[in-house]
Amino acid sequence: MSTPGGNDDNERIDDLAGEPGIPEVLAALAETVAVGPPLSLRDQLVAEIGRRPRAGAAPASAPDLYRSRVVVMRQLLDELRGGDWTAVVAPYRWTTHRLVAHLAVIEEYTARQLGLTGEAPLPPGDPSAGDHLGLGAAEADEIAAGAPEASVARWWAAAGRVAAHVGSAAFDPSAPVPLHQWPFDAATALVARSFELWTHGDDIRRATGRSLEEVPAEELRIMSSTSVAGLPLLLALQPPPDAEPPAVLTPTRVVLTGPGGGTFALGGPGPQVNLLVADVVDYCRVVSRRLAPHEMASTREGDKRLLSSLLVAAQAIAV
Amino acid sequence: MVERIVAGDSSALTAVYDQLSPVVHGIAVRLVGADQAGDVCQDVFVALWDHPERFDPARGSLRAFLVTMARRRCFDLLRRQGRLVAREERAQHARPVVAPEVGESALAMIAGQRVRQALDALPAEQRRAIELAYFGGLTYREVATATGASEGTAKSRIRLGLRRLAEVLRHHEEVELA
Repeated sequence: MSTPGGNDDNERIDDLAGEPGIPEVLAALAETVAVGPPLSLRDQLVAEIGRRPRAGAAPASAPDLYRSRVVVMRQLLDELRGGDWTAVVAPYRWTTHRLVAHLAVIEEYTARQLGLTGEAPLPPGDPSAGDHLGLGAAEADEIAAGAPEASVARWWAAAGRVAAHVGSAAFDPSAPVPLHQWPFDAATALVARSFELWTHGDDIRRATGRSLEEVPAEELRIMSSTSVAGLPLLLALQPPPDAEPPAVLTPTRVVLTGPGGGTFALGGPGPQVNLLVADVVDYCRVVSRRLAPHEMASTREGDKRLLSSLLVAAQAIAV
Repeated sequence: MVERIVAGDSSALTAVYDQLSPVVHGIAVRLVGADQAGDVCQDVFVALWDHPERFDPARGSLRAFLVTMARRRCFDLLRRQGRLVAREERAQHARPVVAPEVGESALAMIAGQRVRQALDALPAEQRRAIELAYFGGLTYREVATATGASEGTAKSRIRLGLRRLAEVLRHHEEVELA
């Protein structure tokens, strides 16, 4: 290490890097000897980072899941060209571009709710943020009037900021982070955001003639398990249809099949008198309202009205 | 781009690699030799992948961050191996080559030429001291010995030369921006 008096035997030119402007000069000097590494080194690097646990590989937590979803969305948006941007996206009748503008507004709202913007987070149910699709609609229209690249950049600025924050030591997964009317904790809020990014990614793929994404099993596991864990609360909050008495949750087994699925017990201890078996991807598509509960191939035993009510309740936080 | 790396986007890392690996690899070739430069280069980019949060854009460019990391790793490697490269041998490597290398992008070539010109415009004793210290990896004391100056003079020449280079390069940037 350097010493102020300059008497260290090992002092080098690099020790001047603390002086303003010098690091850039030292880096510029390296340009004079720049020589590309062997081509094989690039392949080795790609293989090496593929072996390292990072977002996108095998997310173990909601922050990893969210960051992976952001990356996948970014890669999709980078692929879009010309007519892709004016393709109409079901079910909203928005163009792809308008959908990205919506995502930009929502991601900026998420950043605010995480306390990243300097503005106070809005409380759960705040009228200005209660309607997910209507939130910032005028602003989203304005964004969509510009160039698609600018809209992507705006979305990325917000999403990248959130992604960086949730991967940092400052992120507290148990901190309250209300989104719209829901009093989520931060981890659950990220899962909700991940659902939306996945869903809208597939919306864009459908609209632009691309194949739907095969989501990694670990990501499905986080999304499906978080959703199922929230079912009792969502059921309790769900108003019963047509003045029927509210469905009462009795012991229920939910089996989601396929990679990323699992078996879950709801309704407290005791013999599980109800059974719902479905494919985990189908279940997640029901949650995100891209598949109606009655269209989902499933096995339902026991209180079928309760099971239907659970699936309807699962859609409550869909976007 | 670093935000994308933070988010886990491996394509962002390879994009950074494609852009900046020549400078990282090139300086490693100078300091530890071609046989080990690849390992240093890979270590640097894997470290960026593992800990992208260590890069602080407020403290300088990503290029400067990676070059600094590469040089530290080179010196660590030399120290670990107890490899004593003769001062004279390192001094022979001290002069930057002018010939463009395969794989060097056009932009990097232009940047490299500009720095070479700025380096050549320095007073000879400052230029030589910087070449020995930077490309040869010599300590101040070794530069002093190689040039027959006192250690204080060697250090002063290096510092003055770097400041002059900073001014020249900043001027180039301002002209380009204008």
